[in-house]
Amino acid sequence: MAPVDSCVAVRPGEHACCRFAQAADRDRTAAAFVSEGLTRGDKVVYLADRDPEELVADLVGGDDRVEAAAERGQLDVRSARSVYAPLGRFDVELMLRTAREERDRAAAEGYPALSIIGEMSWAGPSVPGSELVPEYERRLDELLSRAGIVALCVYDTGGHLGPATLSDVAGAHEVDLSPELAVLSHTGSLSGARTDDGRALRLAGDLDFDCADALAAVLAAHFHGPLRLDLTDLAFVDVTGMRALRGHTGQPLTIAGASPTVHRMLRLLAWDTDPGVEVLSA
Amino acid sequence: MRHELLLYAQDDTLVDVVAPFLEDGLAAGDAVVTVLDTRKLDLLRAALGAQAKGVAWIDVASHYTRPEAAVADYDARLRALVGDGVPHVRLFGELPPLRSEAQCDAWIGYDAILNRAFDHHPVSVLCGYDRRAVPERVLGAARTSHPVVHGHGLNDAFADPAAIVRAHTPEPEPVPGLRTIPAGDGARALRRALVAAMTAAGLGPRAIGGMVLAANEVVANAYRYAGGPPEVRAGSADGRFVCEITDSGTGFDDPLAGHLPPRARGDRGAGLWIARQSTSRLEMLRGEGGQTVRLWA
Repeated sequence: MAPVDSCVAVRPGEHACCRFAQAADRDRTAAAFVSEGLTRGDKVVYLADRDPEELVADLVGGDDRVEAAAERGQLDVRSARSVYAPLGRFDVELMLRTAREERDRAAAEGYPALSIIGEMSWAGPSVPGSELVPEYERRLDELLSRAGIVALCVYDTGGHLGPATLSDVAGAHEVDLSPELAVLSHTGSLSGARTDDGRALRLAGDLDFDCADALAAVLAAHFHGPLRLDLTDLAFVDVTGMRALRGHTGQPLTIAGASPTVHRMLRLLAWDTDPGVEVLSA
Repeated sequence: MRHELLLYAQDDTLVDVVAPFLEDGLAAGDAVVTVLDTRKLDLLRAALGAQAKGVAWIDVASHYTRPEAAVADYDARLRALVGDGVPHVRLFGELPPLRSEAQCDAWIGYDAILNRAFDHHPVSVLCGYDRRAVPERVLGAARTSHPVVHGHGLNDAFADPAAIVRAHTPEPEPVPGLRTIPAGDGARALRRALVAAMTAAGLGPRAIGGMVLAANEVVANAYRYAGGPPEVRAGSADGRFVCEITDSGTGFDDPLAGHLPPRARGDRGAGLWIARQSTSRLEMLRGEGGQTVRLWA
């Protein structure tokens, strides 16, 4: 179990986008991403907008494996700007080549995969080529779909890229940790992501009474009509958490990825015969 | 729901009453289910002849080891049948062999609970009580837990199911030597601590998962109804793992709490139901400082 008491709804092999409004949300997501990468034994590369040494110190505070991982090179924290825009400008082809090289290097070093997290706050008027970030993300999405690499691209909603560009960027990722889902992680250890072009909600971690109210509020505010859920990565769910899935309105649900535990819960709560709940078989 | 008692002492009576009960159900287009020991299943199957294939025959020994599981299983079956468009269900069943006083009490309570658990289902339940095998005090209780007695019609001795369950819920004894588990650091920390304690005690993943879920539900109730973190103690007693959760609320007095299956979209609290389903025994103790729920792995 990762020492960090939070998780992130991103799976190995995926290309995920995290848009954050609060630095604390970014830090929580990033720390969980790093911890999960270390737990898998991945090479973890962190391209940071902040001072790498300070960042490592922050990460050590949440996960005592980080220091040793940094010392042996399993965790490699670098300045984002120096990697994305080494010559003062952002070049799509150059960065895609860098991504491939990092992946190949991780493999050559004997790691099963590369976990890479890139903070993108450098993108803006001061860096020429920043307007090509959406194109880069689309190309990266193609690259990632066939490589031993999981990537989390981190964008500040208050940064230089406008809402339209950020929306475009998010659409280039198969997994979208969109900003309205960040509140799910504020208590307990639940993480949510939009998948399937924003049409489905994936939940990971523990859905318990600590975070049930937050989930119900998010569903009421941002998910209207029939709800498609992917519960594959749920480690724990209780009655209050299950109830929250119906939101305030008892909206129809389609549930994919129900574990034996979730199936049992569905049966004991009489949801297995509720016409408003469709459970997809694996 | 119709809930009827059949007291009998001979195989011939069993066949003479139950075979027509099942056949009438088949003729009416009902779903027909029989839950019995294998010897009696064979007797009835033979009596029904070619019609036997229309009946679901269930061996009571292999399916109904605990009353809590039996209620959940019947409820799921009934819901599924009704969902499939079956207009009505007929069920003939007997209790499994009762091997201890505790089992007698639990199954006495079970037959009372059925009145409330399934009162909304379109089902006729005929319960067989074999005088040759069932202890006298269980026969006596059965005469009060069924609204109808076969051959006699409405039962004047029918009693409030909650009162029957209360009368047959033994007063829990104190369990000394349990150790406090910190519960103020959130539900997840408590779940982790329980997993660690149970793993150290050598329990398997199924028992651990059930206990963690049950304790979490009881703790959730403590936060919701008693307004704060409960005191949680755990340890081993009589070779079994025990977890006690004491809240600071005034508690409540409902002998049926957690015994009734939730209904779809109902707002009935389901936490204690889940807790009972996920552990081997749940006991409630009311003390001066608050209410304690004791869970046995």
